Order: sequence, then structure tokens, then C-alpha cells
Amino acid sequence: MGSHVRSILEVSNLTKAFKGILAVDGVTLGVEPGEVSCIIGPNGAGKSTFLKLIGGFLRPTSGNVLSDGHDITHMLPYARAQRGIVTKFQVTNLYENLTVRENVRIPAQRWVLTRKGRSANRERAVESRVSEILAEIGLAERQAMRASHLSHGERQWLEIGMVLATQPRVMLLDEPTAGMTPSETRATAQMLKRLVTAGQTTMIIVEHDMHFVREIAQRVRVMHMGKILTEGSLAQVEANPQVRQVYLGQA
Amino acid sequence: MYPLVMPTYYIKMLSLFLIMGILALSVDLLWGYTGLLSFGQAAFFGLGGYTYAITIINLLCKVVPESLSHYTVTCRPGTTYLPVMLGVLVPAAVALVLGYFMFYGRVRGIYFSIITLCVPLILEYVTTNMVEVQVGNIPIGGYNGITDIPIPALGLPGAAIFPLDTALRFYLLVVAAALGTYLFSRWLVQTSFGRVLVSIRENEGRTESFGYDVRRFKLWVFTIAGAIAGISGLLFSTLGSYISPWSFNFVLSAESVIWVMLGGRGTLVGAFVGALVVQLLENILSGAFLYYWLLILGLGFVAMVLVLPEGLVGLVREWQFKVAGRAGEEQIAAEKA
Amino acid sequence: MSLGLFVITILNALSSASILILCALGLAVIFGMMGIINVAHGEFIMLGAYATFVFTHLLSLNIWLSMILGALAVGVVGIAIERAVIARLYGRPLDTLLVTWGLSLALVQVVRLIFGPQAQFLSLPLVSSITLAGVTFPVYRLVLVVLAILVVVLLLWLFKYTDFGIDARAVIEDPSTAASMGIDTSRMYMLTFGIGAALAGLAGAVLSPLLNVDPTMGQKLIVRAFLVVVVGGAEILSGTVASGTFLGAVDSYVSYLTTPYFGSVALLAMAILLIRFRSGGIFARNKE
Repeated sequence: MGSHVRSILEVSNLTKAFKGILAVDGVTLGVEPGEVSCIIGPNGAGKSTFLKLIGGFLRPTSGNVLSDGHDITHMLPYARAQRGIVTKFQVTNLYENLTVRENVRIPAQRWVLTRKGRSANRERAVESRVSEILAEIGLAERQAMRASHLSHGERQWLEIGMVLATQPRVMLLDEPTAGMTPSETRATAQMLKRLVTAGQTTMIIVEHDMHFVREIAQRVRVMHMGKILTEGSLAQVEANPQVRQVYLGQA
Repeated sequence: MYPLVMPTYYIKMLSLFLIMGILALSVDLLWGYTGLLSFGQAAFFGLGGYTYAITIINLLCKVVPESLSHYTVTCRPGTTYLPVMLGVLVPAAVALVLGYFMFYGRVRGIYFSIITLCVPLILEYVTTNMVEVQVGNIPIGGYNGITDIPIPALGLPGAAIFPLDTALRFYLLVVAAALGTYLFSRWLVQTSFGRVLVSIRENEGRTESFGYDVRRFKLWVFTIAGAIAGISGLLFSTLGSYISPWSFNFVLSAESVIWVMLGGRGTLVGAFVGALVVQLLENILSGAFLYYWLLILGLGFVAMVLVLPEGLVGLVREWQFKVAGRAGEEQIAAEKA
Repeated sequence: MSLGLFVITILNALSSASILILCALGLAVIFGMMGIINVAHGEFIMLGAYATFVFTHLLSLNIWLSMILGALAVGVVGIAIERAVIARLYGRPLDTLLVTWGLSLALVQVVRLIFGPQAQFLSLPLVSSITLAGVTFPVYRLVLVVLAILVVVLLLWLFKYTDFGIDARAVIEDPSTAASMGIDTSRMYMLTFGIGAALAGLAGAVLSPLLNVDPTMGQKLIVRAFLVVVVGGAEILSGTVASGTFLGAVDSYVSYLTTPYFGSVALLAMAILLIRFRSGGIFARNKE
């Protein structure tokens, strides 16, 4: 854990039980600002459940989630969003009948801050922010297209763009590359890397695709049966014999 | 428009059509843009009419009872600003309260439609039953309603009064109101506020997840729509100098939805088009033909829904999207320039 | 309150409730099973009344027989409509709503064109009154109360103890699972719509001596039927019975205290309150 830098997110003994089964079992970890980490592990390890607990979509059985020292354990998702903690799920939830541009504009217009409050200036600021985001996610050419006509990968990017528009401090992504082609996966990794170097967005990504993880993760945590088995760089984690066994054992 | 050469009867008819167009506009704002299907805009229509009538008679007229349920109403000339203001504010206030009751109780979808359906029904029953009950100097009049409503007048109170005493002058007022409400609505839907309304229609949960308090947005648009319906109601009561419980009737609410549906939901201008065309047709086909017309309308509905793969709703969506798509292309073109 | 007054208050409430329940059951069955709102439900009631009229006055059949035939006739019409129109719109609830609205319009006009807009008159099959605790009450209304109970019991038996009923409940629960277990969902929907229509027809038939039988009679009844179903919530039978009884009692009691108009107002207001405060119907558990 970072010593001089205060953790942007701290999880302490977090547990979630479903009818006696411990999906998440006493997880404790700290996330530093700007850190891009991936959570990997076999199916059923509790990765998605863990993400939902941080995002506020599930209430923990016990334990705490702290953000900048504040206890947000029982905060609803929209309140967490206002603190900059935003979740992006595997299944996209877009405005199907609106254009790409309009999709991005909705979150953007709420979260654009200008020094001058005058509406004309604000409109301009919103529009330029939307164009910025569209360029970031590579959908500028498609901005007049209806969201329902996008390909699967483009839909994921659009949703990433919409999440970006909310100026998140912490982005929680649940399997963003699921169903993507290898080239789409690579593009997604590039996109997210650009964001990390540009802004100060912290990311926690649950993933299965090792190429993606290799491309983007600064830190990897392996979950197994609701607990964090080990963490470190991808190389360290891959070399860990326990991790190998967990993956091979599940094959 | 050509009313300058038309006889009074036709001018009054056009005025009526436009007044109903304003009512339809309120439906489109709610349904076409926010996805709230209100079957009760007639409630605010009637409230606007009754409030205007009661206010103006209290303000300018003396009511003398002749015999049972028969009154003579004598009015002095005077401007009608206050009755008009109240005729807009009272329906708006009721919409605010009703909206708060519904939206802050998370009433949505079909439950919203049902409650809005019931409210004018309640008002219709209540006013039909209140025959002798007086508000100020004028009784509500039960089934017969309030008659002898004086004509509206502009000008400066006390100094110069300019009564709208010809059909043509009144027609111009109606046109001004229609234009005014239309332009206001057009402006409203292209602001940030208007875009959020559309996003609520498209995917309310998603909009909420971005931190928008959708209840507040719904409340605002419902109040505004109530005010617009109120305007249409008060104009109606001056057109015929008469308002009655019929103004709360479900048929009116249902027709307003049909006008929007046929004219093009979510287009604003479609509200007027639908209202004008349908009312015109209903006027032309009178008597027995009216029944046939309704039969054809009913069967036509059925056929349309079956034959069009996406149904009526889908067809309108396609239309809507084309409009939106064009706007998007303009945006790109503007940016490239 | 004297015993007589008490008795008649109860009887009036039961009468009011039974009429509401009879009118609402058909709608509840269709909505519960198929998830669609049959806007033409009021017109099915109207058709039941007119069918009864035709059978008694034009074919001179016994009125009880006419009522049964009337209900069955509407059931057949319902099945025909389901096959011709509704079956093509599975999974499109809004379009089904629009279609039934169109049908509702069309049916009113057809009847108006055939029979004219005026009201038809059917005489009560039972004109006697019964005297209880010093108050008199029309026997026919008591018959309706008994009928409502019988119909509910019959439906209960149908849904619990017949193969059809068990299959129907499976389809309500999860249509795709039911289909994969070999249940012909299309046939289920057809029969359900037919039953719903027949129930509406029955309501119209038995109400025909009591109400004005004119082409628009359905439009006055559908709002109440609707409210009973919505307030009743997800439970088809118990919900409809509970909300019908409650709303009927409210209406009849307030009507007695004031006027029938205010009775209706009370019913509407109570329905609004229940919808607002108990989304999910009268039996819903409070959401967390």
C-alpha cells in the first residue's frame, strides 16, 4: 500500500454472503490514485461481486469501503457516482434510439464545469467536451449513428465514453472486452492507457483476457474463492505457483 | 392565414381547432419528449377554463339570480389580465401538486397514465354535482356549467380598453397563443433540460445513473404541460363564452392523445397537424358518416398496427430518428467547417 | 346504527363489489395471463348485454338461457379476435393496446350502426325483493352477489385443479419455460382470451336488466374495471376480489352518505391512493 499517498479507495475486511456461501470473503486492499489494476481469477471467484460491492450495487454482509477516508459502505450508486466512483458493466446500457453523440452528451452536460455559468458558454463547453470524448473513444466518425446500429465493440466504447463524460475519479469496469475481437481488445487497451496518462483516472478492471491485462495493468490481483490470493505485477503473478494451480486446477 | 375573407363561423372553427392544437401540444411535450403518456390533460384544460370564467365574472360582473338555476349576468368592460394569469397558474399549481404526489412516489409507466386518467374524471363528477355551490359570486352550475363569460380585452386598465369583440380579433389572439406556446416548447426541447427529458424517455434508469434527479425533471415538464393545457382551456371558455364539466371529459383527453399519435409524436408541430386534420375531417363527415368514419378509424388502427412491422410507434420512431439524424449530420458538418 | 341500516349497508356494499368483480375478472384474467391490456373489454361487456337482448327479444328465449348464450357468444368472438389479431402481436404490448383500442372504437360503431344509438330495455328476470331485519333488498342483486362468488370459486377450481389451470399458471410464471415443457402457449393464450371475453360477456349479460344497454355502456364501465385490476395487482383472483370488494364498499358507502357522484369520486380517489402507496397492488410487500 502506498505510504505517503492517501489511498483513493480502501477496502477493509469486505464480506458478502449469499445464503451461506461467501462470495467475497474478508477482502482487504488499498488502491492508490491513478493506479490501473486488474482483478483476475477463475469463474466464480467473486470478482464481479467484489466490483459491485465497491460500486454500491450490492450491500456487504460486513466490512467497509472507504473513499478518501470517508466511509461509503452504505452509499447508493448514484451517490458514489457523485463522488466520482463509476461502474461500467459487461452488458451495455445505452440510449439505443439516440445517436452516439447524443448518448455522450447526456452525461457530459451534467458534468461539464465552466468558470462562467452563462448558458451559451456552457453549451459550447459541453459540445467541445463531447467531441473530445468521441475522439478519445474513436467514434467521432460514427457520431450521427444510432446506438443500436453499432457493433458490439463500438457499444462498449460508447459506454466507456459515457462513463468518461462523468469525470470519474475511479472507474470500475467489469469485463469490458468480453465478446470483443482481438483487434477491438487491443484498441480498448490503447484507449484506456491514453486516458490513464492523460488524466488521473484510477481504474479497477475485472478481466479474463490476458492480452488485455498484459497491455494495461500496472498491478494485478488474483481472486480465488472470494479471497485475494496474491497481488503484484502480471509477471510476478504469472510466476506464482499457487496461481498456476488455481487456474490449471479449474481447467 | 386567410380568415380575413371567411365568414365568422369558419373563423370560430379555426380558432377551436388551434385551441385544441395547444392542448395536443401539452400531450406531446409529456408523451413525445418525456415518455409520460398522460390521459388527463383535460383536467388542466377544464381547470383553466373554470378558473378563467370564475375569476373574470367575479371581477367584472354582477350576478343576479332570477329563478332556480337561472341567473342574469351583467358585465362591465375591463381588461382580462388577471383572469388569464390565474387561468394559467391554477392548472399549473394543481399539476405541480399532482406531479409531486406521483413522481416523488415513484409512480411511473402505466400507473402514471391511470392516475392521470382518473383525475379529470373526479373533476367531472365533482363539478357536475356542484350545481348551487358558489365561488365568489358565481355558482359552478353543475352539468350546465357557467355561461355568459365575457369576451377578453387587452389594453390598460382604467385607461384604454381594447376588447377582442370580433371573431377575427379573437382568432388573432388564439394564433398568438398557439405560436407562443409552440415556440416556447420548441425552445425548451433543445435546451439541456429538453435533452434530459428525451433521455428519460429513452432510458430512465441510465439517466438516473448519471446523477440526474429524474423526478424533478418530470415534475417540471408536467407543470409546464399543465399550464399549456390551462391556456388552451381558458381560450376555449372565452370562445363559446361557456364552460362545463364536459371540458373534463375523457373523450377530450383521449382525442388529444390520438391527435398527437396521428400527427407525429415527438415533433411538436405534429400536435397541431393532428389536431387540425382530425377535427377538420370530423367536421366534414357529419351525421351517419361520422359513425362510419369512427369505424374506419378503428379498423384503420388495427390494420396499421398489423401491417406496419414496427407498428405506429415504430414508424414515428423512424421519423423521429431521421429528424435527429439530420441534426447530427448538421452538427458534424458544422464542426468540419 | 340500527340493525336494518347495518344490513342494508352491507348488502349494498356486497352488491356494488360483486358488480365490480364481475366486470373486472375478464380483464384480470387476460392481463394476468397474457400481460396485455384489452381496451375493448368494455365493449365485450356491451356485446354480452346486446347478445342477451337479441336472444330474449328477437329469439324469444328464456332470459337465463339468453344470458348464458350471450356470455358464450362473446367468448367465441373473443377467440376469433385473438386468432385474427392478437396472436400476431405477441411480445408487443403497446401495439396490442393500440389494436384493442381500435377494435373498441370499431365495435361501438358497428353496434351503433346495427342497433342505433338508443338504449335497449331488458326487464329484470326477478322482480321480487327479500326482507331482512326490516329492510327490503332486490333478490336479483343478491343473485348477482351469489353469482360473483360462484364465478370466483369456479375460476379458482379451474386454475388449481384442472390440467388447463395448471398449465395456465406455468405459462403465467414463465412462458418460455412452459413452452419448453411442452405446453402449447399459443393455444393457452387463445383459450385465455376466450375465457376473459366470456367473463366480460357474462358481466354484460347479467347487468343488462340493471343498466342502460346502449353502444357506449362499455366505456362507462371500463375505467372501474381497469382500476380494480390495477389496484388488485399481480394476483389474478385474490387481487381482483380484494380490490373489487374494497373499492365497491367505498363507493357504495360514500354514495349512501352523499350522492352516487361522490361515491364514484371516492372510488377513484381511493384507487389513486392505493396505486400511489402500494405499487404492485393490494397485496404487495413494501419494497426495501
